[in-house]
Amino acid sequence: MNQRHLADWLRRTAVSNMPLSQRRRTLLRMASAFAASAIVAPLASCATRAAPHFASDPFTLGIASGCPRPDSVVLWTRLAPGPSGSHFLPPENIELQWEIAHDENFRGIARHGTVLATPALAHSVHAEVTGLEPARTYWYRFKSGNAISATGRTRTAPAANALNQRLRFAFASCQQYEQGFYAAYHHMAREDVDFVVFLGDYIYESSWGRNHVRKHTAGEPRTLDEYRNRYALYKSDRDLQRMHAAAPWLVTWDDHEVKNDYANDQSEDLDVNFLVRRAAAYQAYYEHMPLSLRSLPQGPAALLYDSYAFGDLVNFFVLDDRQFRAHQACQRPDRGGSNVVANCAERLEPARTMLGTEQENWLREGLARTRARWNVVAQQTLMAQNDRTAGPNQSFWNDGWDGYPGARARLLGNLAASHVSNPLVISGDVHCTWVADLKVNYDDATSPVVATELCGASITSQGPTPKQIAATLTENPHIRYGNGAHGYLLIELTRERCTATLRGLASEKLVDSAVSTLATFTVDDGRPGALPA
Amino acid sequence: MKLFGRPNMRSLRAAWALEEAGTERASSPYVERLTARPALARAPAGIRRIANRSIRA
Repeated sequence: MNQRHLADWLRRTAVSNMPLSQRRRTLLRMASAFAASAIVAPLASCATRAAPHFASDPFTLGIASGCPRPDSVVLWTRLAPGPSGSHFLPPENIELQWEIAHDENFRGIARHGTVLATPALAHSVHAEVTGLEPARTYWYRFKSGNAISATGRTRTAPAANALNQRLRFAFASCQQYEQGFYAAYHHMAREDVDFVVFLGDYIYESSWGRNHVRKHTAGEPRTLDEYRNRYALYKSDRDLQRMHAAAPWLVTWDDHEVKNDYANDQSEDLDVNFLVRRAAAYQAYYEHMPLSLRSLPQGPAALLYDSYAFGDLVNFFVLDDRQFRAHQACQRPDRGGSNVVANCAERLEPARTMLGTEQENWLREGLARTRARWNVVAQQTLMAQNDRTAGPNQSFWNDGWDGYPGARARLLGNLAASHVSNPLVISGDVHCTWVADLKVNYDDATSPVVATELCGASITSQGPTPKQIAATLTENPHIRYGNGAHGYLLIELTRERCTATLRGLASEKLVDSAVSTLATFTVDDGRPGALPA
Repeated sequence: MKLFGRPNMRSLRAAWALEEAGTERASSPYVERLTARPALARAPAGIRRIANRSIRA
């Protein structure tokens, strides 16, 4: 990382707002992380193999597309022959050809090209294909030497000025590998979605929970190779691969892509070398996601937040609420991470940030400019207030937005002040479907509903009990619905309404579980707040 | 122009079973082929949804 990047990163982080002593410690850790990181390795420093002969299929981790724009998509794969955990090739660059076509049989090739899979990025490739037509379905595949990948399907976004009538997407989060199978993706692939939004916890660094149906193949990752192996394990799942192949994805991360409950430069175990670990985890994330080059990490910093327009119907604002946030308030002594807190004055400090100053400004400006009919804020965790104590006393989980009420009020206040058309917040992290009214001030019963929150089910990760869900609904009347089933939310947007359908699995413990519709809500144009359909 | 020519059949077989027929919504033959799958092993017997679950969100 050079000085300019370092300065940029500092501006984006909360580091510059930290007390001097904390700032000095953080900068020292960052310097260590940069020294230990080899992310920006020279790409052409080793031999290049143009036509390798693979003894086994090198596309074992599948293919993917992402970042759909009106004229471009990112095509992803990683060359990784061999079983999970041994996905490493010799230290040579390897050429891949990609082609993208108007038809599944590749009779009409729209674009083709060659990319270099380099060992510095675990032989992953991120081909940014431009010159495509808007709102069009394409098929794509890769070839390297004697190997050819399966065929993926992707779709470009409608043109910015398109008067598009309908958009359909699914969103998902939290797919702890050991706690269930990915049957949800088998069904999602059949939903005919334009794209998928993934809201974090794509991998889990730790083994936890009960009644595992399969196991991580190694302990908690800390190094780059260990994170790569964890991604390889998760991406070996065929249902996950199929969903990646079926539609483009927009992705963001939460904590488990690095370490449970981490906040900015602090891990829950207060690891003094945490930024070295974060750099490794961020690089592995980039290597395994269909992200554009702008998201290539520089040391422990990566630019993930972004906006996506789909005609004049909807704008997406995809956030990163992990990298730049203030540490959790009122932490336990000698420990980072989350806690349920009551009477915590620090929590209420208005300067506390969830997004960091730069991202917060970017979001505010984007919301002020948007003219889309629907505006979706895609982010990690439940935004609605969730008081966890029955009766007049209150307690809050300090890792979610409840730990950052000043930042939440700023964001929702901006939505209201900017008169943003039909704001929707989609969320994950908490392993439960919640449908909620979002308000600037939850202590004022007359505070108006300014946005609708749809918090999605987890793919597999264990969630709250029915009793806990019932208690939450009783204590928090602005949370209108809760359901602990695993699955995904399917969203259809038209000019008149948003329809959200909860598709729940019979059991995440069954590899071929059935899925069914458990609830449907609608949000009408011009009227925030979800109504049962 | 068709860049790739004849597919490598061994790699295709090693990837997904694209030739298998699907059983649900016939509106997209691609999705049918993509999501078709042979009989897969079930979870270990005795796995049930559990009542009291801890969360690591």
